[in-house]
Amino acid sequence: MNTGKKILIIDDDASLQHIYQTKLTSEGFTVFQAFEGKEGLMLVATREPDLIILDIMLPGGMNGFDVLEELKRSAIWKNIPVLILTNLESEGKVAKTIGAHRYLIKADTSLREVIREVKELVK
Amino acid sequence: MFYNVFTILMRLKSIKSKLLTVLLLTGLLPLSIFGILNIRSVQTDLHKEIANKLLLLAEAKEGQIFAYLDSIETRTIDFASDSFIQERTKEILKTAPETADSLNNYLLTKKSLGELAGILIMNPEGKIVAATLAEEIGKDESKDIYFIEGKERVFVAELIGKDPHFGLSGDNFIVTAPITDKSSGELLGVIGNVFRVDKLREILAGEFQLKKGALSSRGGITTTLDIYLVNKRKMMFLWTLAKSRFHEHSKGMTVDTLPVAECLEKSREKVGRYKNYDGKEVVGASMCIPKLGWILLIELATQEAFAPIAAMQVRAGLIIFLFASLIIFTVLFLAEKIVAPIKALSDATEIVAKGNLDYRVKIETGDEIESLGNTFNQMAADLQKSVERLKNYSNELEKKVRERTEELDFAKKKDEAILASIGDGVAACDKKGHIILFNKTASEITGFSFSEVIGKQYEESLKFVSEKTGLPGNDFIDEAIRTGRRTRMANHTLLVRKDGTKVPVADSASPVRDEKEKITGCVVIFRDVTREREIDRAKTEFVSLASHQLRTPLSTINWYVESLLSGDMGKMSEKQRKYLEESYRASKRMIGLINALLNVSRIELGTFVVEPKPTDIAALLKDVIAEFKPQIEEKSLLFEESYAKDLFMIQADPKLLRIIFQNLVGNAINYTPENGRIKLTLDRRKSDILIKVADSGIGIPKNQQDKIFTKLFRADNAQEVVTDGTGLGLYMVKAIVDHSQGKIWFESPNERKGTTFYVSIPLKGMRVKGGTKELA
Repeated sequence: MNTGKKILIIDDDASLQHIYQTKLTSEGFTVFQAFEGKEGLMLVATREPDLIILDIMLPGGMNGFDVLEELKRSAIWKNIPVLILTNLESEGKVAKTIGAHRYLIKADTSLREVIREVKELVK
Repeated sequence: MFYNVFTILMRLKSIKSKLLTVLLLTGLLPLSIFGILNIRSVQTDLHKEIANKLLLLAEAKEGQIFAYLDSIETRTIDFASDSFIQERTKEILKTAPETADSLNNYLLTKKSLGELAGILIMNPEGKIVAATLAEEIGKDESKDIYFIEGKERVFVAELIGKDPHFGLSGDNFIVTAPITDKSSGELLGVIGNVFRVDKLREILAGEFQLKKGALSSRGGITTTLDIYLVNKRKMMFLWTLAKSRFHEHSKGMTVDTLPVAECLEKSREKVGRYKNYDGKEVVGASMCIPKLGWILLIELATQEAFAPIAAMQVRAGLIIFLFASLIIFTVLFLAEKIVAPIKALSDATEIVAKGNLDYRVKIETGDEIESLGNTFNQMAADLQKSVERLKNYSNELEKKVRERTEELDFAKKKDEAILASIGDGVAACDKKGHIILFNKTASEITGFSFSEVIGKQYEESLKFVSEKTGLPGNDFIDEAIRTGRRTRMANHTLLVRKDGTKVPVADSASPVRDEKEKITGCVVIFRDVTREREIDRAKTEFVSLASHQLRTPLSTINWYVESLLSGDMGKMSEKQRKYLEESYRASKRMIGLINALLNVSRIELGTFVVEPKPTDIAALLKDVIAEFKPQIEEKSLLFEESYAKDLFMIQADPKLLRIIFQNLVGNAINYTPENGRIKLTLDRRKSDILIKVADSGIGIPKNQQDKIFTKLFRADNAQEVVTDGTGLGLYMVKAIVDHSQGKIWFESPNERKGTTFYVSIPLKGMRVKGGTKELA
């Protein structure tokens, strides 16, 4: 089912990372966390996640879109589904253009919905 | 022909010459013609007269000649029949010639008189046996024609030059007659009288008459009348003109002229004009005397003959000359009289024309020209007055023009000052697109100076491009000129400056019309909106950023609370649960507020997008209502729905529609007290879809109805019922509806009487609207 599925979360918000981890792990997923873009990409390379949850506002020179572009540029990882979870409004179109699968606004989405989406995308 | 002459005349440059030519022509010409004709006729008459006269004379002279010849013949015959002569001749013939002396003496004494040069008697053999001159006796005349003929009858002949008798020859003549015996009739001999030609000459010349006592003989004709005889050998042997060159070389002269030839060849007598032996032109008459082969010629030099004509011609010439002189003098005099005042007038005109308006002409001829002169003076005086007036007007005008120019100058400077100080760039072009106005701000924005752009096509200096595509965006100017409507620049227009850098600009082009409403050009106004753009961007960024920053902690709260509420951290007491739920709700409200603020900002900035796609409105509506189910049940509201039968998909942005429905339904639910009634209708009309949300709620106070759609407005009665409403809902809905080409309105009789909201969306659906953001 969900066991064994690896989820990489790239988000600089520690509190959210905590709750992500708690919730997802309780659902049976394996969770990896990165707090900035470059770290995230490294983890993609080393952990080969089945899904990436990506925030947009990231520190360290690369924002979520940059990461997404990088992913899509690589031959190996461009097919990993990406779920953008952000509080930025209406960059959805841009995200979709670059190749994200979903674009959700944290403030408008309940945790339950997030889990549902994750389960959906991991399939 | 006369017309040509006339036109040439009229080209003559002065009255004098014109008068002269005309008078000379009209006076002299007929006179001359008349004169010539007259002279001609006189000439002819004279000619005739002279010819006649000559003829008469010739005939008379001929008569005289014949008479003379007759007389000498008779004389000779007389001599021949003289008995003494006969006797003696008989004797001489029989006997010796010595006896001839008595005959000679007899001859001498009795017979030789006057013109007789001598008498000689020849024997029948032709030998002269007796003569009045001893030397003649013994000559042999047997060969001579006069002897031969004289044997038969009386014969007149000229003496041939080679055979002189009595010292005469040539032009003198001899008359011979036979001497016959009275009784026997036998030829005794031939008597010959040698006559001097002088007598005949005298006769012909008229001297004879004079000698005999006549008073005149020449018939009035004078010096050149030449009467002469020409013999058949064409030799002149008798002439009458005593002293003239005729005389000098006429002796022995051949006269081989026309009348001579005529007489000798054709026996025709002539009277007329011809050239005589001297080559001179003469008028002459000829008489032929065939008996002797003589031609009598009477000739008058035509010069003399027609002398009267010549005189006439001279006279006529003189008359014409006098007449012409008369005409010329008259004309000159007259012309002077006429021309002088005219010239004075012409000079005066020149003087006045040159500018001397004081000059007056003085003409006192007492005729029309004088009156012309007076009129002229009057005119000059009037002209002077007019000129004065004109000068005054001109001065006035100059003054006015100066004043006006100053005013215009001032106004112009004012306008220029205004234009220069307008903060926006202002450029104006004419119908063809040439720049005619370019203010300082325009120069600053574009980087082109005024002199660089004036008169040139606007595309060279106003280079607008689309920010997105980079393609030229000047169409709005052309459109303004073409359609006559004010056009706006497309959003995101950039202006390319002279140095190539791009500047974001905004604004509009308007057509310029003249008083006849014809489009004469265009005015383009543009603003450097870099700053505005920055502000905008800052604003949006701010809003985005702010919303992001505001949302982040809230979403954290939400999820944590949610996690707690789901029991992830263990079971909670009812009270704990309740408190948490309160928190959750509060934070949710906060998020709602933030979303609303975000939407409002988007609406204000015009940055929200409209993305229509085929939408099932009924389904959407139902969906929204489902969301509100909890509240509806909680308040025990009676909710009715009515959907039209033939609804279909229309082009609409479902997100926006959702917002509209959420607001209207939410409001209806919020502001209707428990157990109230809400009815929702979805109708299809001719050109649109109508959504009706009717509630039995608190209604909208009449005095606050006009503010219902304004931002942050909440009616007082609404405030009481829902304390934390944002006042942004209807503002947003209206904005969305307006941008969807739809309409929204409401009816609310008054407080507590319920409210019905109407929204119409055209069947055509929503139009795509570009923007950067979607509404939350």
